[in-house]
Parts: sequence; C-alpha cells; structure tokens
Amino acid sequence: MANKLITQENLKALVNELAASYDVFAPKRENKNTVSFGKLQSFEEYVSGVLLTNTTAKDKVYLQSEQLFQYELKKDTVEFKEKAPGKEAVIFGGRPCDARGFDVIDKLFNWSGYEDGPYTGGRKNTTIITVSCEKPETTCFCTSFAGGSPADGKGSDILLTPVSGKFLAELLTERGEKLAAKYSKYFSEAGDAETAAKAEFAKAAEAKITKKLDLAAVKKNLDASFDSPYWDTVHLPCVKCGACTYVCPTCYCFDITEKKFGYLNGERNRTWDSCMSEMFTKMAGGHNPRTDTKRRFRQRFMHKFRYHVDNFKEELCTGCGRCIRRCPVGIDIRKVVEEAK
Amino acid sequence: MEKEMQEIAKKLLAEKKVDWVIGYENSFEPGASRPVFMNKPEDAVKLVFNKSCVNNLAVYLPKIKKQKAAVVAKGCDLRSVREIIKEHQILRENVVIIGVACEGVESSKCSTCTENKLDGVDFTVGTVKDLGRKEDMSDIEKFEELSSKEKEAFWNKEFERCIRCYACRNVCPVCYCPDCFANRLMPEYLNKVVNTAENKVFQQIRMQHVFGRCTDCRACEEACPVGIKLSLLTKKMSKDAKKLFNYESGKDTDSRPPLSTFKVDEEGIAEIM
Amino acid sequence: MEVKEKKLNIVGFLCNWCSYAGADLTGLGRNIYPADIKIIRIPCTGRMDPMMVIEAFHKGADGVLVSGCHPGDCHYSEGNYYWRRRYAHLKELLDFFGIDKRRFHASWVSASEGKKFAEVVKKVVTETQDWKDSNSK
Repeated sequence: MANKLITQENLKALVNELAASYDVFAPKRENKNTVSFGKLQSFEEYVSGVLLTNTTAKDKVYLQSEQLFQYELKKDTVEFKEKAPGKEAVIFGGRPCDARGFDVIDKLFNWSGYEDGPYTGGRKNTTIITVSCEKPETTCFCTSFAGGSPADGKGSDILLTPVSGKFLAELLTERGEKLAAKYSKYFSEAGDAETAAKAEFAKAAEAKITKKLDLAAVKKNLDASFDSPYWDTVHLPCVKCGACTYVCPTCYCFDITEKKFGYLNGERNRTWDSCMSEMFTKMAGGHNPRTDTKRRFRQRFMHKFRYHVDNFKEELCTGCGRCIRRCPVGIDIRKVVEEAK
Repeated sequence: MEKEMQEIAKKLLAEKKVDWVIGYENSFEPGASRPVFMNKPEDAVKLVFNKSCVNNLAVYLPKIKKQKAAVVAKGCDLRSVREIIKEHQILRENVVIIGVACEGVESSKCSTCTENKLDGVDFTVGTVKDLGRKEDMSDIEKFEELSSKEKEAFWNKEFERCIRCYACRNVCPVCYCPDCFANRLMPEYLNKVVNTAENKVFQQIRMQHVFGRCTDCRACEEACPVGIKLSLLTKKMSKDAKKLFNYESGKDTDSRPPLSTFKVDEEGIAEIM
Repeated sequence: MEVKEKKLNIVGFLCNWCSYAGADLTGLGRNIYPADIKIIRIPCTGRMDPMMVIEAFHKGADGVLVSGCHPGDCHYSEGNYYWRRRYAHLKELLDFFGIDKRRFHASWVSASEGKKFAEVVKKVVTETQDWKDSNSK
C-alpha cells in the first residue's frame, strides 16, 4: 500500500479537522499521573510523549459495558430495541502494541464463521492511526512476538513514523487510504529515502528493547507445568484484582447480564469480565471450578501463552507491558511465564 | 538497614519460627519494588527496602490465617496490622512484625506522616527518628466547603474513569470479606454494568464499610490504575472518626471499632438528631 | 395545610415498633402530611444497612428519612444507638460525595407521636424541596 508524508503542522490541522466530524480518541491527560484515551476536542489536548496510557484503546471499540438490546413486554408481544450504531471514530496516537491488540481480538470475534455484531460493527466504524515508538520503556517486550516491533503496522489503518522532522504515513488498509484520500490536501508523496529512513528507525527502536521472550520455550514449559508446584507459590503476592486484564489490549473475556427496570422492560448488557475474579467461573448452582486464587492466577498465563496459541497460533499478548506497570503488586508477566516449570 | 532485615528474615526462616517472610524485592526496573513471599532462608538476600516500597503488606495477613508469617511493616502498615489483629483476622502470636524505621516512601501520605513510631513490633530495623511532620487536613476542609453540586461534579469526573477492576478493594488490608457485596447477585446492590453512577455507588458502599477501620494507608490510591483520588475519601473518614467518635483506627489492638459499639450519651454527635 | 401534588421522591424507612405505628396514628388522627414520602417498614433502625440508603439515592430518591424509637426505648434495647452512630458518619460521607445534607434525615418518633411524624415529614419535604430548588439553579 501507499506511503505518504505529513508534516507536524499538517498533522495538527488534520487532527483538528477530524475532531470536527469524527469522535477522535487520543491519549489525553486526566490528572497528574493519568493519561487515557479520551475524546479530543483539539490537537492541543493530545499528549504525544506518553508511550503507555493507563488504559488501552480497546475500550473504544470493544466497550467495557455494551447494551446488546432492550426489551419491553407489550400486550401480547415482546418488543426488542437494538442500539443504534455509534458515530464514526478515529483512534489517534495509539502505539503499535495497541493496534496489534485489535488484530488479535478481531480473529476471536470472527471465529469459525461467527461474526460478533457489536464488536465488528464498532471495528468497521473506527480508523486507527498509530504512531511508532522511538524510546521503548523498560516494560516493553513487543519484539518477542512474530512481527512485533515498535514500528509495526499490524492492526493499524495508518502508521505514522517520525522521519526527518516529518511523519511517514503508511496507509495499510482500505480504510486508511480512504481517510488519506478524503484529507489528501495534508499529505504529500513519500520517496524511497523516507521509506529507508523508516526501516532505520524501526531497527534502532527494536534494538532498544532488551527483553525478549523465547516463546517456543515458554509454550513448552507451560504445556508441561499445569500441575507443577511452581504455581503454588508464585501466585502468593497477587491480590486478584482485575487491573491487569482490564488494561490489557488483548483480554477479551466478557459476561452477559440482564438489568430489569420494572416488570415489563429491561436490557441485556455485555460487560468485560476478568479471570482474576472469583465470580468469573461461578456457576448458577454455586459450584466454582476455579475456587482458589492459584487456579485463577494460573489461568491467566496459561490462556495467554498456551491455550490461545493452541487455538489461534499466536499469543494473546502484544508485549505492551501495561499489566506489569499497572499491577498494584508489580507482577511481571515476562518473569512468571519464563520461570514456569 | 537492608542487611539487618535480611539477617532477621534468614534467622526466622532457618529456625522455623515462621512459614513465610513477607517483604519487598526488586522489581522490573531500577528503583521499583514489589512484595515477595519467601520460605527458604537462602532467599532472604532478596529483601530490600527503599523509597519505592509503598505496598501495604498487611493485606496478605488475613490470607495466611493458619500459618505463621513475618511481615515487614512501615509505621503506617503497622496500623493496618493492628487493625487486622483487632478484628481477629489473624492471631498476634502467628505474626512476627518486622518494623522498619521508614522516613517516607513515594506516597502522597508521607508528607503529613505522624505514624513512624513502631510500638509493639517484634523487631525494629533502623532507628526511629522524629520526622517533625504534622497532620494536615486543610485539603479536606477546603473540599467540604464546596457546594454539593461542585462535589458531585468532581466525583463524577473521577469515577467516569473507574474501570471497576477492584484493585482498591483487593489491596485494602481491611477489605478481607470473602463475599463482597459487589460480587453478590442476590440482592444485587451493584450491577455489573460499568458507568459513573454504578462506580460511585461501589466506592460509596466500600468506603462506608471500611469506616472506622480504614487507617488511611492509601494503598487503594496507590493501586488505582486510573489514578482516582481516593485519598480524599479515606482522609475524610479518618477525620470523621476522630471528630465524631474520638476514635483512631490502628492505634491499638483491643478497642472496639466505632460502629460496633455505642455510648448512651454521645458527646461527638449530641446535636445530630 | 393544603394538600399539594406529589413532587418529590422520598423514601422513609420506619421502625416497626415506633415510627411505623406513629405514622399509622398520624393517619388515624387525621393529621395531614405531604404525600411525597414512600414508607418501607424495617424491624429496627439497628437493621438499617447504610447500603440501603446509598442504594435509595442511587435509584433516584430525592430524600431519605430513617425514623425509629427514642434512645432508650428500642424494642431490641440498643438498636437505635448503633443507628445513631451510623447516621452521623453516613451523613458526613454522603455529603462529601455530593449528596446534600438536606436530603438525608433521621428522627425519633414513638408510636404515640402521630402529630410529630407529620411535622417530621413536612420538615423533610421542605428541606428536600429547598435542596432541589437550589440545585436546579
């Protein structure tokens, strides 16, 4: 697909123009220590220097709580009302690991011929403009994954990479090309020099990521360690909150609940759920197959690096390192899976 | 200081006085630390103590009920330990408290800390100094003076961000209920749907439940992945407990929590009805 | 007092032994009080879980009144003393969250104080209305 160039000033003008007609979500400062994807009014609110926002962009497409439908009991029928599709959205300023997360969940929500309406609806409505990372953090480990890189475009529609004072805009999907065509006045053509500069940039950024997981070894270890005594002690510091799963760009588990407004009407909702929660596996009769915290803790790592690999041939992780940073007790996913035996 | 702590831990484990030592170890990057559990004497060298040791390790004590544990406690954590002993979540003889003469960590509470004295610990690491810090309630008083509308707007903005991961609840040393109201479906006080109103209800009920037991240790605020200013609430509650019932949580191990007792003639709340 | 149209949603939690009987007596004695209050009977104010107050406000109540026996008269000896403590701190906490003090009330009404109950409800309604007026500005 085509490569374009865009200058700083033009990017600013583009985002401002996008904000007028789309819902633009970008890293936005909430308070002193918090930067999350929020709705942008103008480019000034965009925080460009932050790699890891506190929460992911996942919740802009795959909503934390989503109404599936409303029902109302009429005299002799039941009337259903589905939610109208949302406004077209642009997720701007996310990082390659955030965008890869969408790529991973896409496969899940379109698995074996089934298409998940609310998710794919939102996905089709959203254009993702990603910015490559120059200086990875100590918690980053995206290069461990096949094709993973701080300048990788998987899952993004447009990937912006800073080269020689400008941004190289790689239009990676049809949606990205359409957006660039609509606002073509801001873009100029890119030459081979810029493309080469991007490759250079990617190489330099990748070299800065020191931690690399040997995923084949991890998978092999996890395959054999289900009953291992390793899990008896490693989970002890974990307090079993759901912070790691809710800030993860790839965790997709959900729960479906009903909300009753009266005797005659109500709604059905889909809400994120976390395997760390005791309620996650609790059944109607009261039985809970994952009673203790050890089993719940093990499940998270097993799912990410073993079960999901069995099913989809890729890890349920993009290496963003948010769970390491946001964990109240500093549990390091890299260390846990590496040391599993 | 670290050496001293490691020696104590090593000795306790080698002599089989405790099953576990709960302390801090180095974490994913320089200057970061995390809680660690160890049961072998040779592991004791992992113990560290520095400015990044903000976790309140008292949270782990109710979970190891039947075993014996040694826990590294700063002055503020010590209050939580006392509170847990008071509420019979762990027996005093089952816990060995390694008090640390802390001079402040990277937490919002430290600038007004008056809690660095280590009364009733089994071991003291370092020397306790008078830090000369004073309690400061001016931010609470300032917030109280706002109108209801302004207060509501402030909290709506804060709880809009909440993702209901329950980190605040799970790191809280006094939130040890095995069956939390937030998980209960019958009666359903809290719907699973995450929105500002429900998030606020969760925190209102949680705060009410820990009133008079909360030691204002700020573990919840430190844990919050989206930086909600929970310290305002915990500080307010410790102020109320003092003002209304002349009670300070975590000062001792035998007084009654304010809401589980009463006086026929209440001084603090005489004019309330 | 003139009977006005119902405008507010006030939930009244009344103790079975005193205030509920008191409210009964209000009607028997033909004392008129505003119809804005919905009454829920509870066994004792000591059973009054603060969660129920929070839930009432969450579900859209404009005001909440909790009423029970006078101190010393509790059917279960001391339930209302516990409630008195809970009320004192809950009022402060909810005010901090932005639920105005004028919306949350507690009172002591005995079974023989029908007239007092009418007065209490009038006071609660006036104060809640006062809050509502000032809030809508």
